[in-house]
Amino acid sequence: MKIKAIALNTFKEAVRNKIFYLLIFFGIFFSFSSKLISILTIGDTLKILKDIGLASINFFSVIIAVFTGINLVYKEIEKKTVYFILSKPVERRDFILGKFLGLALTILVALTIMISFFSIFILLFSGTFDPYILLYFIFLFTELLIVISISILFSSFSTPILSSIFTIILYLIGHVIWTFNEFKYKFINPIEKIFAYSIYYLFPNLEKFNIKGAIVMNDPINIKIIFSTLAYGIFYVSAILLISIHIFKHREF
Amino acid sequence: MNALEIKDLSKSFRSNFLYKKTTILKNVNINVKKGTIYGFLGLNGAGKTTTIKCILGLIKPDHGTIRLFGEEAEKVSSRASIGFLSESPYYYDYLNAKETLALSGKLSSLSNKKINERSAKIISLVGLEGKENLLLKKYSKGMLQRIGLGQALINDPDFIILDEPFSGLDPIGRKELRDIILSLKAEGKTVFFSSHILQDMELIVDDIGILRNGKITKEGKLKDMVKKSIKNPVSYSLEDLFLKEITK
Amino acid sequence: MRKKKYLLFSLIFFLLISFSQYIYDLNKDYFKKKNTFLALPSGKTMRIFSFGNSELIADFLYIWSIQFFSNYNLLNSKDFIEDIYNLITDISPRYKDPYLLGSTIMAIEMNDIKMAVRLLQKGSKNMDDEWIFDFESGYYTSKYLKNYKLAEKYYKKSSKKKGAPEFISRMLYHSIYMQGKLEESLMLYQSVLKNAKTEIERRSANLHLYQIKFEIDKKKIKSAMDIFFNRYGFYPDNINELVTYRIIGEIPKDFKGHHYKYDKKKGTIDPKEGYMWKKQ
Repeated sequence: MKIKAIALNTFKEAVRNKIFYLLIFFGIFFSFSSKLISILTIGDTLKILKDIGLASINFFSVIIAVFTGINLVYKEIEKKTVYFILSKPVERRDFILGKFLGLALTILVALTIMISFFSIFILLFSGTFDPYILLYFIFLFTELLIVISISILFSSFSTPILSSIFTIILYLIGHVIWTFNEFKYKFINPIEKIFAYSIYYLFPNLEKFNIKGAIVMNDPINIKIIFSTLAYGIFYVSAILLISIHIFKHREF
Repeated sequence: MNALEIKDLSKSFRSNFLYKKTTILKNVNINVKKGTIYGFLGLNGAGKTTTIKCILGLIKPDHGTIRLFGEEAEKVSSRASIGFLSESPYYYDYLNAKETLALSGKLSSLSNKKINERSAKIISLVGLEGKENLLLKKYSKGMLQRIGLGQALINDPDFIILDEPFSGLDPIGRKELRDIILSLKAEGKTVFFSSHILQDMELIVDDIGILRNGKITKEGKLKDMVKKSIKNPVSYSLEDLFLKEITK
Repeated sequence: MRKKKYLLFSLIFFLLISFSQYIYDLNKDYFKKKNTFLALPSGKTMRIFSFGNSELIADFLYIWSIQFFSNYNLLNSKDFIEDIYNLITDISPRYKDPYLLGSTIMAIEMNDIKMAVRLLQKGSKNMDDEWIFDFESGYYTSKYLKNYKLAEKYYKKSSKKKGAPEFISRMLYHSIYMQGKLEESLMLYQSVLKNAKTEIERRSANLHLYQIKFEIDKKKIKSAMDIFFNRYGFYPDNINELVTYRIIGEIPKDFKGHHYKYDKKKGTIDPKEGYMWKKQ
């Protein structure tokens, strides 16, 4: 009940900000602009449409996640509205969870708007609905949940500028860390090996949520990969939220 | 049982891990009796807000105990019967008055029905009729102070903490606030408030505590204290007492 | 313990994270054989956009290139090798390792000696106080291309540079010898023998000299034998007949002062056993 109130309040804060609509608008605008670019190609225009559309949805939803995530959590502390919440009989745990769920709801709404516009657009253009787009939607949403949980973690102890830098750096690392698999056999010394492997397993591995290539090329995706990816996302979010709660519980205002 | 019991409360801060700790509170003892109005005095930086933050569980004391109606203040449930008005208005400026009250009520686990009931009453009590649908970012300082008082009272608390409630209010507003505080007392509630504005305080408080450099230097019934220090009964007031106390 | 319960739970979740990552990695084929494509900006562009960290960019590119060329799942990675190492060496012209590693991959793995030498010569031009580039160029041209004339040029250039080790001059003499300039190389090796400091150097110079002298003598005897054969229609029974018939002044002896073995059927001479540096 209290978590719900905090979550809805967070959502309200996000949707009463004009920037939120601007970002969604840009996401839709750029995915529609793919029609213009596809005029320039010869052959498979659908590929171009999907590529540009998915890329712009991805880009703008990540921006929404990082910035609303950091902004909305840090603002509470910066503007001291957290006093208002915590002077009520509210557990600090509930505050973090409420914030997380509110942000998740915000992202979900933004993503749903963008993806449904995009699907209707593709449907009108090609006459078919691609069920993989739904999977992409779920994967992207899970990835963004990881991003917002990381932004909550950083905001719970750091300043907004540092938090955004950390979150963006982790996001970028998350998209390149899979390359570790290509040189992991080079680690022979056991200490180096333990160090390298623990970094590999500790940092968010986000590239696996990116199935844009598979969607565009109609590649079949292994069911084990789908499940391990989703499980990974859920576990990661849980772990990060627990750490955030721990830090927030011991924080003084 | 007292409404608030603070025993041996100490708190020190370290602004940076390189600096030494600075002590804010040293063995503070406060007892607030049920159904009374307690005035909490002190200069800026004496530690009033820190004490209030400790009561609300926003910061953890280094040592000492705080009990609210016998329950430890560290526990979240102790705050169910508290209403708190902060010194500056820390509310969501994208909400209107009604939504602020509703959020405050929900965080105190009130039902929607109860919230609607209470908020209509409170809006008229704090004098915000006709302004309840205006976003808080359009509010003036005085109006924010009113909605702040409103959100503190939404859960019908037994213990009300007001941090500098008179600052930023015009003379009529101060009069109204005094009346509200007195009516709360009449309902059997306990009010604990800090203020610089001694004239207002003198008119309503039962007990006072004076905090100086993190220590309670004087505590007791206002009447007794003013009487005790009488030399010239006509002109002696709380202000004289306070000035004497802090310049000692 | 109660205070840390959230941390404990998060630890459990991290174990689950690692587990799901492990399952994912098991099912993911990271090592699919595939073609790749690379388009690289020019060295100047990279230097501009490194905002003053061009050396760092060069380091990263060099490290990356090692990974790139040791990934044997990229079928066509070698197509880009010259561009990659040219880029790195354009960004940082005085960085020695990229020249050496690049040319080694080009020469050993791709057998493209000309490309390797091109890269090494770029290095030699950019770092003209460094002997190793010319030495390696000479080595590759003599070993793989058997172009001893070119190798002589590179070795000569290398041996003149500061800090060039002694053995380069011996490689230079060898390339001169391999071109068939026997008289010249005899003289050069005699100077090597004279300046030799260690036993190994002395022995090696001795063997070279033995071989070179043998080849010179063999030529001399061959032309004398041809004259004899033209005159009489057969080869002499005894090699000393060449002197008797006044075709040559005296019969040459080998470097150790021994007589050569004479094969009267073919009219040729052979060295004594165990003295030759290399088989003919």
